[in-house]
Amino acid sequence: MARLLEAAAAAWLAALLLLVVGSPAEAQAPRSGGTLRAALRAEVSTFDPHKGASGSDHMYLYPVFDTLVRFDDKLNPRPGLAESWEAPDPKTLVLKLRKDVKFHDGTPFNADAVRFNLARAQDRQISSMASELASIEQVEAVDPHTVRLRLKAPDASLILAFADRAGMMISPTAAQKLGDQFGRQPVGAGEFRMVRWQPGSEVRMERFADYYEPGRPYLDAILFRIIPDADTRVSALRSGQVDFIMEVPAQDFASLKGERNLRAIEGPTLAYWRVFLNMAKQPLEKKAVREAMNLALDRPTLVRTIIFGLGEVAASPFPAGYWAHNASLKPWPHDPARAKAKLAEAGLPNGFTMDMVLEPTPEHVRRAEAIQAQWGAVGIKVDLKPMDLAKGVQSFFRAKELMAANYRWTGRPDPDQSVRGMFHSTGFYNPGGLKVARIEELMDQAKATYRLEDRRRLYQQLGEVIQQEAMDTGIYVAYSLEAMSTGLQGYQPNFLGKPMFRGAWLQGK
Amino acid sequence: MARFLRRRLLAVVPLLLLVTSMVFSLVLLLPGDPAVALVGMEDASEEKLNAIRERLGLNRPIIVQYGSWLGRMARGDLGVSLRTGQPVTEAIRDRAPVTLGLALAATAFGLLVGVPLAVVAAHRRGSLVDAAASGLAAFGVAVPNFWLGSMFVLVLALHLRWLPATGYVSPFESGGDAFRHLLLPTLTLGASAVAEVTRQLRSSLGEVLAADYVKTARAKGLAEARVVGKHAMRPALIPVVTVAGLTVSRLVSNTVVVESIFALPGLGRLNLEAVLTRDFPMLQGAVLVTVLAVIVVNVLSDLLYGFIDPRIRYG
Repeated sequence: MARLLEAAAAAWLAALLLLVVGSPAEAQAPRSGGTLRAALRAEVSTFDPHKGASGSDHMYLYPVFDTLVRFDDKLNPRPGLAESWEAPDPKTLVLKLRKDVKFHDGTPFNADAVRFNLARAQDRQISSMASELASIEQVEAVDPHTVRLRLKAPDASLILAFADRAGMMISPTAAQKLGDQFGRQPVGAGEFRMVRWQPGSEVRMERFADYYEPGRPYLDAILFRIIPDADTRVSALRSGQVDFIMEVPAQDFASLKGERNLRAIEGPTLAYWRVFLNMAKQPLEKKAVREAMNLALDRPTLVRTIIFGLGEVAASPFPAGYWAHNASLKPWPHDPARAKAKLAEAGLPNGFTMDMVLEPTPEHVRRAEAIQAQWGAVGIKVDLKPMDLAKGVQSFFRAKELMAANYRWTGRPDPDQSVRGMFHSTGFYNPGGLKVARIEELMDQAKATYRLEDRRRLYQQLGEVIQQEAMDTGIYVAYSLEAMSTGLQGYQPNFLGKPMFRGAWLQGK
Repeated sequence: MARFLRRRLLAVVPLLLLVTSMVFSLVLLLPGDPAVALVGMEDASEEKLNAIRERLGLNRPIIVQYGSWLGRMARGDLGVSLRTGQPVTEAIRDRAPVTLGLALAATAFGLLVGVPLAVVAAHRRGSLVDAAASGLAAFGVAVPNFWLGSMFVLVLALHLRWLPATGYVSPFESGGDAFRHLLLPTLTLGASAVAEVTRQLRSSLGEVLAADYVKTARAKGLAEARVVGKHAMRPALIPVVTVAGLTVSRLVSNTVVVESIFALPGLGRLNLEAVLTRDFPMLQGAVLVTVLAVIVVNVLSDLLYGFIDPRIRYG
């Protein structure tokens, strides 16, 4: 009996010792192996990064295609397949390429491959992103690992465009061989090879053994399951059928956070909820009216009630943490009395009536109704027009029939893409085409400046002018809500709100 | 019989033409074109959309699109998805078995549970069993699929962890897994089938059991099981078959909800996704197959009448 006790005590001590010595090391060192099962809302539309146009494709594209430029968690540009870049003059951009990269089919990655890719991405017959690369006049291979871009006009937004679809490199050999079929049998230079795509059900990717970073990726495979219904995604995670879900419904987030085997994380994103205005319509063309609309909104209450505090009141489309953010720019105060005074100043003491498009889903309706009530309190009567996205985009942005739309700006890697779309007189998302010369000057200046520090200053200034002109009726920036099993390590959310599993690994069971 | 079949099948052709041309017309009524639906709010510049329209052949007149679709359909080619480029026939081949399996399982469940329940209830009218069966049937008819499905997931999958919450496994991969994955969707979808069958059979069997020839049979001293099983059951089943035929059509439409709740890659979800993304070739194909399936079930139930009750002749 005593011997047994002694043995038990010894074992106990040994276990304790192991726990103390063993655990910190285990917590730090990523473990290789395992299959990550992630549930996504939408199906990938195509694996051809140039052809696709859907914003929900990125999660599927990132593992397969490495990009010329990468971005960090704050969306700062970082070296990718291009080790470095410089602009010897504003109309020339030189990219130095990595020398140790192969595509999944063995084709070497080099300057010719970049030339092929950029030409394809600029070809309007194939590409749906040609406009992003419109400033490129010519692509030259200086040597096998150096590419020189000749530009029609200076364009600093190219760098981060190369971190998006336009910079995803596909194998020229495979693209030429497969033609139209490439979108279903992609060949990239990323960490994973796509091995099976069962539409409507799942996409399976396996580790690319010849990936250039030694030891990477940690995972053996990624299995994306397509689960459009948000509650079903939550059930799949809770029951252990998947390790990761995105777009967690805000009302479930707190309870998931409290669960023992799960981790729920919120991250700031560029998802900017705002009311798009057609500033050519009476009386929205008046600055005082737009000021009144901004002063009448109680944004903190909207953040608290509509998204359960999982976001932040926005003063501009660039949230805290993003490199173009302006910390000294304060959000509009909530001041109904001043809002009424502004309306009177505009000659509308009794307010006015306007229509507003929204999507007919519960969260959209809740948000739009809350905005309706806040504007109603100062005399702005809002007529809600629920319609599905395709119809709403058609009526508001294209046909320019309506006065306002309550939508989310999904964000773009480079600020130029955002501000040009929403605040330039030719921007698609500025349907009234209101022109403020100072805003456009700043935009062009920022686009022609390659130093990030200088660009930051210009965008901060731009944000101030936009607020002075009351050109933006922003509401809040919503966090990306993701939940995962505690076994998933090394995952980091990003500002685009599009999950990327670079560096992720699974703890042993 | 052969003439009846021929006539029914011939009637299918104009029906299909009508349905497909209606779906194509609906396309005209749906505002917002597929190119816009495809890009959503992303980078929807006009030149980009035009490029997409061009690539997808959407800039041709709708009647030309319909004509070329009909021509290709006649050759068994339903086109490719606007969204993923997958051939429509391939998508249907992959997904139809999921929905078919689910609908069959739910119907079988409806009959296997509904028939005995109804027999006992009809036989013991006014008893506790009858009240329970009627109550259950009323519940099954009234309760919406999405609620029932969520409750099953909550209790049986998340709380007790007896069954998987989501997903589909092909029976060719693993029979046991396929069964476990299909169980909750079947219960969810089959609840209304149980209810319909129970209600219908209980009332028709009740009527028949009160008929004179049943009294005669009993007076002859036939065993009760024989009276119910042989003499009363056959005529009582006719309305049940009618209802079962209708139930299958309804089940097919309910699969849209059930497949979403359980993340099953079936035809129901294919239909839904095709509508939401304005994926017209996919929508056409999926509707076509769904309509065909409903027609086939109806023809089959017509044929079953004669099998059950020989007095029914097909002219």
